[in-house]
Amino acid sequence: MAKNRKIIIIGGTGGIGKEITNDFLKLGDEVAVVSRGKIESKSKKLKYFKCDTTDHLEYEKVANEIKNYFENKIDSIICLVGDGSGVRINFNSIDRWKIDWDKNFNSSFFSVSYFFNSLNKNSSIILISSIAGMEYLGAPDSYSVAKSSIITFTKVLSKYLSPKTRVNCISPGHIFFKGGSWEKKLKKKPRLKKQIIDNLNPMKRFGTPTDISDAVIFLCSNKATYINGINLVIDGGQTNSL
Amino acid sequence: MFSLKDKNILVTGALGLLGKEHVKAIASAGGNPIMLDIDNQSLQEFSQYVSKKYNVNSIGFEVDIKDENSIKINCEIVKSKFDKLDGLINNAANNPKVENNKNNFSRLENFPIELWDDDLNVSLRGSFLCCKYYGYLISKNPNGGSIINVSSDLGLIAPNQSLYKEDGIKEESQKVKPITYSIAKHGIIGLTRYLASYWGSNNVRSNVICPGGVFNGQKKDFVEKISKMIPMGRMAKKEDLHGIIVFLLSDSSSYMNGSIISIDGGRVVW
Repeated sequence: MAKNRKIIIIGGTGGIGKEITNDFLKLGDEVAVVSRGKIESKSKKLKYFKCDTTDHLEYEKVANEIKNYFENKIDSIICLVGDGSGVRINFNSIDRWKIDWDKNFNSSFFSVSYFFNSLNKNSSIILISSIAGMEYLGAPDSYSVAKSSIITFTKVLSKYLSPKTRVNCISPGHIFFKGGSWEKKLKKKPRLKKQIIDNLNPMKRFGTPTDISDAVIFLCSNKATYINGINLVIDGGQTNSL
Repeated sequence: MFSLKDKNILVTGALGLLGKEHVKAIASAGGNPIMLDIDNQSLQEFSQYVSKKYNVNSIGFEVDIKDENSIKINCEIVKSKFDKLDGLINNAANNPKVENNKNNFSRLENFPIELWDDDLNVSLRGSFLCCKYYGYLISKNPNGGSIINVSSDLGLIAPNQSLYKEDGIKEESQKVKPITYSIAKHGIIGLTRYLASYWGSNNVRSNVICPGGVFNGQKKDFVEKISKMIPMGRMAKKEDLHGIIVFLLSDSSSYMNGSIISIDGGRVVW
């Protein structure tokens, strides 16, 4: 696999983001992580940029710093920003809806807007949707609607940016990791494991950050050069929708 | 990552245009391809070539996958020769070329029922029988395994018959993509989703790939027309599937089950 690619990971300090960041570093790539939280690493190939990506004015400034850092030669953008603690549809909570929309959709929209002109030939964009964006799972409505839009946004971009850049998204199922939302949920309601995983998931297990990271590495690689516009579902077979 | 070392993987239709590529992909990642097709001499030549070139243990068997008894017997042979089976690629299919059709038999109103039976028997009956025997064998593997079914972009979208149109021929005489191709390729997706829910708890993952049209010397006019329908502006190269085959067979995709994956340059995005 190619080394020294220039990779931007937006939201790279969560459980899945950390795994992806470390996997690219292990492959010898240069990684710029954009996040509100900091990642611990001694690698000289990792540069951290603090930013609230829902604030487009702040993000634009940071994006310019990153483009200078990578000399406008970017190979991949991976956008993972998201927050599943959104709200049910309530027409009196429009402000909260906007906040959720900024986190779960606009952070990806801003990322593509600021970086697509600096992408190299044969580059790749990966956006992260969710199985909650594919079918009704009882997730917060603001989250589901935004994640659903990520799938359509991926299709639109795959038309516009092709053939220079391939654009794909990933819809993870329920992913468990230490400090993640599922750890917290299971502490409060241990029966959810039986209700959701044992009863509804054919593989009867949670996914892991590695499951997602391996797919990201694959889709960004030269082994996936004809894959464009897809929504790669990684959920153990849980979803029923097409 | 993306290694198939010590994995034994059975491929049907192994001598076909894509079948050979699946075999090469498996072997190049260190896996042992078990090849099924209907031309014994070519199978022996190709398996020897693969074993030598990639330094793997490749073997070929002449099996008609429409015949349950042949599969049953062959499954016992596979069991005795290999300690385990890790993967199955249901690749075999009839792909009647539109250009070769004579007397317009590709058109729905003329389509012979014998051809309908044969096309669906190879694709659907054959894939089912391979799951019944080889898939079941994988389900007994303590480490689980991976089944890849090969559908097509035409398993997801309707064929665009204007691609096959020729000037100067009346509408009712124009050649078309045969109906069995769409039916079989849609059916393969249904089979995949069934298998995903059936063997998921045995750690057997089933996924389906939907490749776009692969360039194989088609007429210039056809290639130009279809390329305009693909965001990446080109037909697939036969090597384009190597990566996804290795990824889905490897442990790197161990939570992917029931997924439908297009490899088509973006043709089916709308």
